[in-house]
Amino acid sequence: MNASNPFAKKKSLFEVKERIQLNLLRLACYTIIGCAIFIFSDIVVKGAPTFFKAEAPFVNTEFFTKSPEILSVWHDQDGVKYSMTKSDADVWQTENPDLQVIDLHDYAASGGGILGPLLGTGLLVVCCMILALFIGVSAAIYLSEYCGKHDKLMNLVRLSILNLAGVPSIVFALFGWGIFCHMAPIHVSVSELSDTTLWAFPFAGGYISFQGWDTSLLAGACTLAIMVIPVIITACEESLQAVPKGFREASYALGATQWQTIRKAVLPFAVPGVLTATVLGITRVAGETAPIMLTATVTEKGNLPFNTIVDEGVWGFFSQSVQALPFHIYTLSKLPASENVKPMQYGSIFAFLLLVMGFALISILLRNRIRKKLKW
Amino acid sequence: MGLNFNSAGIVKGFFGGNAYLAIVFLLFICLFLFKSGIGFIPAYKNELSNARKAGLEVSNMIDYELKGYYAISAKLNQAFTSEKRERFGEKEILKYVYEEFEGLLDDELEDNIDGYLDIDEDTTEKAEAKTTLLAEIDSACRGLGEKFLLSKVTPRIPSTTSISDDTIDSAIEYAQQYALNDYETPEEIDQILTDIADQMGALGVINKDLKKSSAGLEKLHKTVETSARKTYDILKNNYKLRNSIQKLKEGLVKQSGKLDNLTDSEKIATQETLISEIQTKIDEAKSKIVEVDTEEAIIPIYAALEGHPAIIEKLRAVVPKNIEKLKDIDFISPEAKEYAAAIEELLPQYLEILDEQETSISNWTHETKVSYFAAIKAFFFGLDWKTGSNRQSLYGLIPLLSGSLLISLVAMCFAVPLAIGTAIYVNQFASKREAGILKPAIEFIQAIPSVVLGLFGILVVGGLLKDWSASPLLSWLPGFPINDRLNVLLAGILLAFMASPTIFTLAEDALNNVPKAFKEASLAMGATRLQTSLKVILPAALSGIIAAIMLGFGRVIGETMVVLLVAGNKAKIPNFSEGIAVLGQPVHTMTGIIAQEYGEASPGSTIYQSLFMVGLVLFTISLIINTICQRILARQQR
Repeated sequence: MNASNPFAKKKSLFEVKERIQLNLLRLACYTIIGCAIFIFSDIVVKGAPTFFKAEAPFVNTEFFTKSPEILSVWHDQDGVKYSMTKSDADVWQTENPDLQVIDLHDYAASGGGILGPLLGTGLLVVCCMILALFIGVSAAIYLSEYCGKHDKLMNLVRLSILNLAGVPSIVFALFGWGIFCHMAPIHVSVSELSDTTLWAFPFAGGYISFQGWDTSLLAGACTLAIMVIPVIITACEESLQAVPKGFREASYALGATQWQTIRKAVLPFAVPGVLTATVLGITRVAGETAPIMLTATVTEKGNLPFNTIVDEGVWGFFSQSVQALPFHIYTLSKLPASENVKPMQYGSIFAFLLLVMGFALISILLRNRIRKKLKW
Repeated sequence: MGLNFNSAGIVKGFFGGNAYLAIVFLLFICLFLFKSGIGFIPAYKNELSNARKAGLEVSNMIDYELKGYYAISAKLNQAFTSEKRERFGEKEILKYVYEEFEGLLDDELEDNIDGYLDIDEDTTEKAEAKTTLLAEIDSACRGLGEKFLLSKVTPRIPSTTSISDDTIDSAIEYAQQYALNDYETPEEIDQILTDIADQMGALGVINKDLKKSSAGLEKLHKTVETSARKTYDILKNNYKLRNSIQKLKEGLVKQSGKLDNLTDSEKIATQETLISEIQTKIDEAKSKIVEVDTEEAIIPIYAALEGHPAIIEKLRAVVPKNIEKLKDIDFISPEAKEYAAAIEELLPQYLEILDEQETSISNWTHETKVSYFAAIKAFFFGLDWKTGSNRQSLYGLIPLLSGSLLISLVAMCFAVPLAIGTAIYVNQFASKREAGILKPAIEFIQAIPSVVLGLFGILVVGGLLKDWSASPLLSWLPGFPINDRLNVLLAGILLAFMASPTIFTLAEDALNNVPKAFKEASLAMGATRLQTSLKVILPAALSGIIAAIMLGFGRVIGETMVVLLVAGNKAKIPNFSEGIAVLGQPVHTMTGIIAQEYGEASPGSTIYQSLFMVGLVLFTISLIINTICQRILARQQR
């Protein structure tokens, strides 16, 4: 280290070259990390002003309690700038007739808040996970407990799971769009019978018609479920396999049936693994845009999803189209660039990133904890 | 499974049934995509055969010839303008600014000027009046402001961004001369136009000659197009009507079938009105069908085509001669020189197009049947994807496929070195603590939703990329500065960032799977750690790393939101002749087209089916990639 040491060994060309190569590898690594930090910091810095405000209660409550609306921006003859949702603007203009409205611009979906999309995303994720966990966990139990490792049919199942996991999300979207939105069976009255129905037969005063559910919560949830099932099966199977064989053998030795063994001796120990799988699935599902774009979402919607359940009943609730955060972001990103839209754009991606990354963080932490804790 | 009806059997059957759902889903997806997509081929065949019967096909061929000419003509125009700017840039602006001033004087200061001119003698009065007038003119002219002048100049010289003070000063001076000399335009101003005409004359003549020579072809194209469009629209409409009649008839049969089971007289009555409604709908649709005799409608097209060889012959003579003349012109502007060189390069291509199209036009008849194979070929090898226009829809996969592949390739160029380098570093060199932070961090990146990345690309990276590419430090790179904000490079960079964690995780696993003995043996032989990593461990893990790269590629080519938002969405084949500058162009992708056009597609329409065909192609690509990777990984584990 001492530069003035005359006896220090001189660095050979080889060592210099080697050092450069090593640093190139290090550079590759930190480039990726650097890009990520750049993205996160940019979104946090520019998104935080939408979230918080200077006066109490310091949180921009409007952003979390309103749904997206049209934003109107204008200035009056004194050059004072106004920016509010279109409905507020109409009220304001009737209240202040003596102030001129100059240079009025309307921006779609840029005013108000993100309550509707947040709720929509939440509903989609919950419905999807209920479906996917039901099928995924049962399939994983079958694969891990009832089949041998070298069962031919099971290998076929595993292969299709692996292949399903690699299919692009837009193909799932297309599939879900075609099947659930245009072909799924639905019970309708005669007047609602669509011309495009594939097949219809009379049933209970109306018709069971294969005409699809249209863009709806249920169609979106089913599409997402099919997409995420491979992830859940793989993760659950892994956690079931991790339960030591001795547990099962001990249970059988006590005279328990296979189902009793699974229920009492295997599943309880696999619960943390299933939980991780769930969170992993949520991370994947919440971030997807293409499938719900085709099957479930609308840009604008007057009421919140829960209001429909009162008016139209349970089926009305599931067959309504919803707003969703990723689709809201997609809508925002297609708007022409403008300073007036940016707060909403950054606020939305900040909220979305927090949501998805929160789940991702939980899944990584959970997994690491389980790996450390559960050692038999 | 056997038929056990005891409880254990039921439980097992329940779980098993769910497991088999995975296979069912996969099969169902395959079948459904196939079923929905396959209907596309007859529908497209019908569209193509209608286009042929109506003569629209031959109109397309002529359009190709015209497009070749337009490419040359556009370059020529660019050469002309850049040469003109180089030689007369400021002077031409001066002229236009002066013209504005002249108009101003005529409109508003006429009385003042007349007042001055009316003073006969050379007195002090006149000198005073002169100074006042000059000052008035000066202030009036300056009052117009640069912004206004610019708005007047830019329509004529689009490249102008500012008007210098010198130009305005001298324009005012000329305007003053104009006023003093009894409304006579100064000679210098007139001279400008003559100069331009003198020095640019040769180019102008070439331009004019070319325009004249192509006028015949343009006229021919218009005749053929109008005639063909008329027939085609009728045919297309008929096809639609027939389809809906077919559907209505099926409905009619269904409803009539129900009639037999009904006993309640009220219900029978409603059912009968329903049936009669359908019947009227059918009749209505039938009445709308216009029978058209394609044999007769095609006659004017054949008549027009008879003139085609002569026109082409003329073009073949005139175009090369004129382009030959370009060589004699001394270009001052380097850009114009480049354009001229580009035109010379385009010429052989253009002549080739002429040859090709001429033979296909002379061989063309409206009678040959379009086969299914031709429809399949037109889809997989078609060079145009054009939907939504009221002309013929074209569904050619090549623009989308090439866009997808180009973006994926660019993304892999960035992602592979980064991800593999990271994997080697984290696996071999990072301390345990460092690796313990880096690995989850990179996995964390994987969870960034693609739509966030897309919007971030639009808001931030797109602007950065454009600014950087315009910096003089990087101007030596081909294709820089990039003109389009949304382009292949931007999409590639964002996708590389998305794919890196995937490749990293899999590659790191592969490196981890290399037996420890390899490393120990190598180190014992005296190799350094870097040598061991690069020359022993990396080759040993190569198959796993290849699988990682392929899966990364699969992820990139199937990614939708990022490309939909930042790739520019222009469905044309990227112009590879520009070399690496192709990265600055906007393209469209297979995933993007599905997400963009699903809104216009109603079930059963040709576009709906075409989207499923594209989906089927994507599905096949992902299956192939997956299968190969499974094979590689399975072999590695053995």
